Amino acid sequence: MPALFSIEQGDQDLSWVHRLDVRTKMGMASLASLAVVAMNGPAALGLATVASVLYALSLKRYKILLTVYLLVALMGAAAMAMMAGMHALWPQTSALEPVKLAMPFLRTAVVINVSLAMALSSSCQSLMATLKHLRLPFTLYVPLSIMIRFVPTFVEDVRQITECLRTRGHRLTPAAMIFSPKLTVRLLLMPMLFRSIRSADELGIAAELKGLGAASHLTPLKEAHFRRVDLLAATLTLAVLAAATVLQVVLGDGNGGLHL
Amino acid sequence: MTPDTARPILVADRSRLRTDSETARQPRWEVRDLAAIGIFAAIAKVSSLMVALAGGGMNPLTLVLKNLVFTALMVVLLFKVRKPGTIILFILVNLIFTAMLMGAGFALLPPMLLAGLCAEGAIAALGGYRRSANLILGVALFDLLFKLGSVGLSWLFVREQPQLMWLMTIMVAIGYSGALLGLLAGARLVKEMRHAGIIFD
Repeated sequence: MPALFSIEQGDQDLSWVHRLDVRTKMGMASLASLAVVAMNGPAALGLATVASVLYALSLKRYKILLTVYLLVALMGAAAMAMMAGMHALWPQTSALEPVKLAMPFLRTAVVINVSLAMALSSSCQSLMATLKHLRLPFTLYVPLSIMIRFVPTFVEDVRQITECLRTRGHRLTPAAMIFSPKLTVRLLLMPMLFRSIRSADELGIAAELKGLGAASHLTPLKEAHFRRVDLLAATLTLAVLAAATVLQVVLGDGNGGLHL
Repeated sequence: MTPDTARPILVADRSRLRTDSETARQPRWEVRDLAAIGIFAAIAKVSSLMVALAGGGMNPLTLVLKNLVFTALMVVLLFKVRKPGTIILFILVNLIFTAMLMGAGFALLPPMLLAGLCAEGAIAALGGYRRSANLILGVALFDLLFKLGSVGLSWLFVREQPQLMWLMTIMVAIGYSGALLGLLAGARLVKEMRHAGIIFD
């Protein structure tokens, strides 16, 4: 019976990142996010960036990755243009230093790579199973599961509301949404809130009728286990971060500084 | 069954018995409150994403609109679930979801949690969740402290290039103006929902 509800794909189509336990991916993401905040050397951050790019590329979702990288590059170009303008208007500010400017973007790239790898390789079902395995308190587990389950419903609600508006002659284009926020609130946000609050009440009552309460003991449908691939990924992550730390200590921030 | 084995079973069964007062005790958080928190967190997240996509990235109007929607939703949620701890739960749920699906939420945890705790403390000090003005003040304080925390966090990320801090501060300030507008929008939404009988005093 549980197999009827399984939406996972066959193992042969998946990359090694898909086979990782979500807890391992979360650990890698949080460790990388914390480590890049501490690092400020181009060599250390460069190594972390290369490793994170390889990790993200192993998903084989090249189109999405390319789009995200283009957006990051666009942000970088905008920041450079603004800084150049600032320097032209206010010469007291230090001149544009590409190496120093690259540091924030390398940090962002690492965070984006590890996050994308986690987001694109974890199914809704595995996220829910992970939530159960994390032994989160009931007060956190219930809203989180509802949040994950509700997102598709909400997107469908928005689609229905916009279709309804179109039949009434309103066209909610992105430009109209930004330049007429009051109208957007009235036409889109209000009906959305009304529907969502009704859904919240219905879901809450349904959950209570099914006996879901603070005293309920939750058991996961599918047991999650750490496998050899998780151990390998965790070891590789630690090795890369250790190497980056060594580079940071030895080479410093690129200006002769020997500090973390 | 020998008397030796029967005894522990009886003791264990007795420990499972509950008195009438224990059975009648209501949990602090009802499932419908938690459902409301989850749904509002989902709306806040998806709306922010939709606004960001519609605006084509980080332009000032998008920033204002994104913060406006988030704050307005937070105000409505506090009026819907008037229980101490709602802000903290909303923040934690949002952060865990962001961390699981989009990453980058881990760094935001300390300033957001600190701002949430201060907001909860201020609401409690001003007389609790029963007074409507306290809820608006609590959200305003949360927004202010969180934005200040965000500026501090930005410094950690762009410390090599101090000029970028100006850019970040301007962006945070624009975002905060959206949050202020969100307070007004939230109060308006609450008024409409009271009129519709969805939110009660």
